[in-house]
Amino acid sequence: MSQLIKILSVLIVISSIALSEDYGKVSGIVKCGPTDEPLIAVNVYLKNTHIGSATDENGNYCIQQIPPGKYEIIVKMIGFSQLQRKFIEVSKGKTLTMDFILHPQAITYNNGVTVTATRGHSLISEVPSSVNVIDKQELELKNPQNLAEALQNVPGVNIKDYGGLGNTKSISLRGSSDSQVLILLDGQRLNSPQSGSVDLNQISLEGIEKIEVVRGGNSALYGSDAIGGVINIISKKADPDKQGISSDFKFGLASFGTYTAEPSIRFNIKNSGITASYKYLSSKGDFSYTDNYGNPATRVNSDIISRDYYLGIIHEFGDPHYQRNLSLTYKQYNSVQGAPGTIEPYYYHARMWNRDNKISAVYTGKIFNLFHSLRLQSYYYDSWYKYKNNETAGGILSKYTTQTYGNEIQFNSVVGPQVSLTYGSGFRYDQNRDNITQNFNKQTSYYLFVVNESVVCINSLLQTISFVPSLRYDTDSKYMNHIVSPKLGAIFNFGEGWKSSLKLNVGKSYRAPTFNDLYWPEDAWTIGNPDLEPEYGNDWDIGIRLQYPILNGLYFESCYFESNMTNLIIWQQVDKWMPLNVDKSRNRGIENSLKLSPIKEFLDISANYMYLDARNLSESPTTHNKILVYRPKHTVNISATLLLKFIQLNYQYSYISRRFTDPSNNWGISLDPYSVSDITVNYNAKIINTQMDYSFQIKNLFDHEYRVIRNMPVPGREYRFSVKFSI
Amino acid sequence: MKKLIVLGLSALFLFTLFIGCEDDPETEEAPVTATALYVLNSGGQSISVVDLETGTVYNNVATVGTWPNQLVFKAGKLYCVNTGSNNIQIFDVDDFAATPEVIDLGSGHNPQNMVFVDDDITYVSCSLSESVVKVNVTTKAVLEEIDAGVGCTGIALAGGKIYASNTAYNAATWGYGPGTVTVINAATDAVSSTIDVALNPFSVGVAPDGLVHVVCTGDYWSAWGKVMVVNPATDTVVDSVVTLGSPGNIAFSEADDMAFLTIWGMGCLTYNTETLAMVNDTSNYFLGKGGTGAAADGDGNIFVSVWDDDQVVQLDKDGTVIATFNVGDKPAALALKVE
Repeated sequence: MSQLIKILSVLIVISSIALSEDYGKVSGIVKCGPTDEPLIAVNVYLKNTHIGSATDENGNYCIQQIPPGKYEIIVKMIGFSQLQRKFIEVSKGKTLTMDFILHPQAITYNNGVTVTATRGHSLISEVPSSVNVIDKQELELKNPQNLAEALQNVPGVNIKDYGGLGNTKSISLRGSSDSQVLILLDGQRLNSPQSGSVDLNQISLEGIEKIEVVRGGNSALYGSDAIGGVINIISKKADPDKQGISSDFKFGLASFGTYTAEPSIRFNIKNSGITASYKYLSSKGDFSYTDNYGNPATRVNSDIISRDYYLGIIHEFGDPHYQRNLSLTYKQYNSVQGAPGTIEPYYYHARMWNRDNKISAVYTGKIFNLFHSLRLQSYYYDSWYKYKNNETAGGILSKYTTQTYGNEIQFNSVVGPQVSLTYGSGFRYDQNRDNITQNFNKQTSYYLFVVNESVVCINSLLQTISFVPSLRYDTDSKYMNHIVSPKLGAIFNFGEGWKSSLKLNVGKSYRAPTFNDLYWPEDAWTIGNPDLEPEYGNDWDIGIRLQYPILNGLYFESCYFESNMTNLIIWQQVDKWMPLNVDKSRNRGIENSLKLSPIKEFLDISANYMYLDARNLSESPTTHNKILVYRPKHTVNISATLLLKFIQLNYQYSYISRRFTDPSNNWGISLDPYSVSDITVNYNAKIINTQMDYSFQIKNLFDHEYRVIRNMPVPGREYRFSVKFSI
Repeated sequence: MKKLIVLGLSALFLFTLFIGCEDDPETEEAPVTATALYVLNSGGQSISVVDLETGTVYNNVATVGTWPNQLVFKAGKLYCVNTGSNNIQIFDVDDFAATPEVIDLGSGHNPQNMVFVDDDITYVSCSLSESVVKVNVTTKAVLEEIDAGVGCTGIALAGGKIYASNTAYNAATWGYGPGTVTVINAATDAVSSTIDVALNPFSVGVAPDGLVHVVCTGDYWSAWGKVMVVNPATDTVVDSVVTLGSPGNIAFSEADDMAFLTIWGMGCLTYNTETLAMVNDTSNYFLGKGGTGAAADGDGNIFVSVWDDDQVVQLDKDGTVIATFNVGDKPAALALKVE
């Protein structure tokens, strides 16, 4: 037997020598430019082949079994500039030595990188999660008035629009409720500890660089509320490379007596940058609609005046290649507005006041060496809210103050070739005071998280499987539960030019009860329930992503998702109205996205479609297996953008199918399907040193009358015009 | 081959894009029946019809307005009082598919309940405007608005007078002031007197003997239920029944001289309208669930809506369940059609 093994071994060695003599090799070392340190986990491969390798812990790489011929070699690593060498010649039986020096390159947000999906900087095309990014260019092109408008065409998104400009707008992802979507500002939660949700109308777009939408459960990264997904609003950073002073002024006019004024100024001196901006919005807001009995009516008491302030300061220090910087941001939003409520009953004089302050300090930089980075963040938010309505029995006067502060530390370490680890912990304090009853609630929460990204090569760098397991532990003083949220994501990538991906995510998420759920003060009819458990969501999705070099870059993504939710918190009457963990639901569906450019740099087309089947699985015979309220089965978005030299023309179409408004799915009070078309024309011109950007929009082009929420009409056709002068 | 894949995927995308055909409407048409129980489903904002001859239930046959509170069957028509919509809808019970007529009472009224004095004239209690509104349902005209008290809610007709109960609810303190009943002469529309009753007079009914029974719910907290009996001849409280619990609506069975009080989550309390003695009190209430709307027919049947279970239960005077009907979402009020 041992003789046989020896013979086989000799044969294998001989055959491999013989085979290797038919091929060539390329080997060498890759180092970091400024430090001369070897770089690990750098991808080195031959373009348009399946042949490649990655550097080891000493920076060495070796690509073997290369058929003789001429190739183009590519060397790349996220956070470094990419190198390409053409016409390298590989000869039979020879080893070609090629060393490379990569230079660190600041990661910009507009190069297909997500910071939300893995908590690190990852290429969108290589993460298992379904991610969409609305970047600065898209925001400028579509000129949204609020966060809801910015998000409304993203796959998987349904915006619940309660009416005019000042009315509440909330979001559902993959059929979740609005409080099951976690909204982040620079990585920190904005969801109200009192109600659990966020009014997208109250989130300023001032100073926003981009918005990332990660669909699917993500409590393993971000904790409570991330059952449907996560939306991360990322603040604009001053760009110290643009030295000097620049400023711009934007003025807008729109239907329904709306106008806006937005001055901003930027100073960039050496390694520091300061950006300050202000937005004033005033809208009379009244619009025409048809009431429930077919009579024409006017939606009065819809006025709003709001002011946004933004101040951003950034200072880079040390070696700029190490990306060490400290940024400070301050935002204030305040508004006073009418609160007409529904049209039945209608409140003609109810008013609402809001004031939000948000302060955040973030330090990021490399520590020890190039393979470890640190992110430190401290933040403070407060929010004051007042509502007055004398048109109900006895009248309503509500005043609330919410305050939040916290700290988070996060490390990212490259621990081996193609393996990185992101880990950290945080602390957060929330308090809420009812300024009428002086009812006061507070909670302190702590968390630990870890995310691993590992790339396993199969045959070559062009066939890889990336695994992204993540785990988070949360606890808080509110109910002392210890919640562990796991998630595993995997993506199989193959090909380069014709790149195809197969992806899978499985995870468990949760939504913690709110202050209202737990501590609603006892009165004649209602009482909070301090014994509530969190809502849980077990979700998984599987999908394909194709990126092909046809039609100037075709992108197609299709994903099946399913989320089973238990312990849903529903307010029910027992002896009194109180919240209980009683309901179950299941959301499942398919998301399809398509992007292409039929005419290069002239016409971009994108479309997405979501089929959603969101069902109530509670025991009640009337509501069991019924479709959840306000969840359309079909959502379609189509966008076409025409790019001319000075003009950009964008057309957007949305179709939302029928939605039920009550748990028993009474057809009589369901909302009819609707389709809306918006058109935007932007014109850019430059005279001497002044850049002028004109924008003309028609929202609801065909003046369709529709409702997103029952008894909450939305405005008809709306014209918007704005001009921006930049010096 | 690759282009074929792309074309195939694009076709798949387009297919799924337009697969979204609209579903067919899910509505039921109720046949014309001699006897029927109409159920107001407050959650589903709809009406269910129970054919009492066959026991068949037709759900969601018509859509009602916002915060529907009461159904009244009168002269072949069904009236729905919509508190949030500030209106009264009039349905043709032989053709629920027809668009209902609407009587608009105007913003700021919050109508609660209505009572007819004849086939044309009705009085509507309005909690927010603290008034009683007189309406001609044929012309759909508001004829008069009469000041009542804070939180005007219950309403009944006895001896040619309207009895409107005022809960005196104070939203600022979540409490109740002294309960009163405003008495209006239906001939002159003048307030003839105001009667002091117990806390939170939520509903009013007229017993077979003609006495007015005012159901005082209490504050759900520390003061408990009581029924004040008013003699319409003198407009004075002549007796009372301590019911305990927090009773809401009242229905009378002439056949058994019984009054049935709905009580949330428990079902019904009952008492004898002649002796005013409790038959089923908080220690032996019947049904054990539900307790929103109630209606009684002339044959001794009592119907009680069960909010949580989306059911209406038919019982006899002893509380024995005769039938259970699965109706729409959150049934809150009932009306009987008996020919």
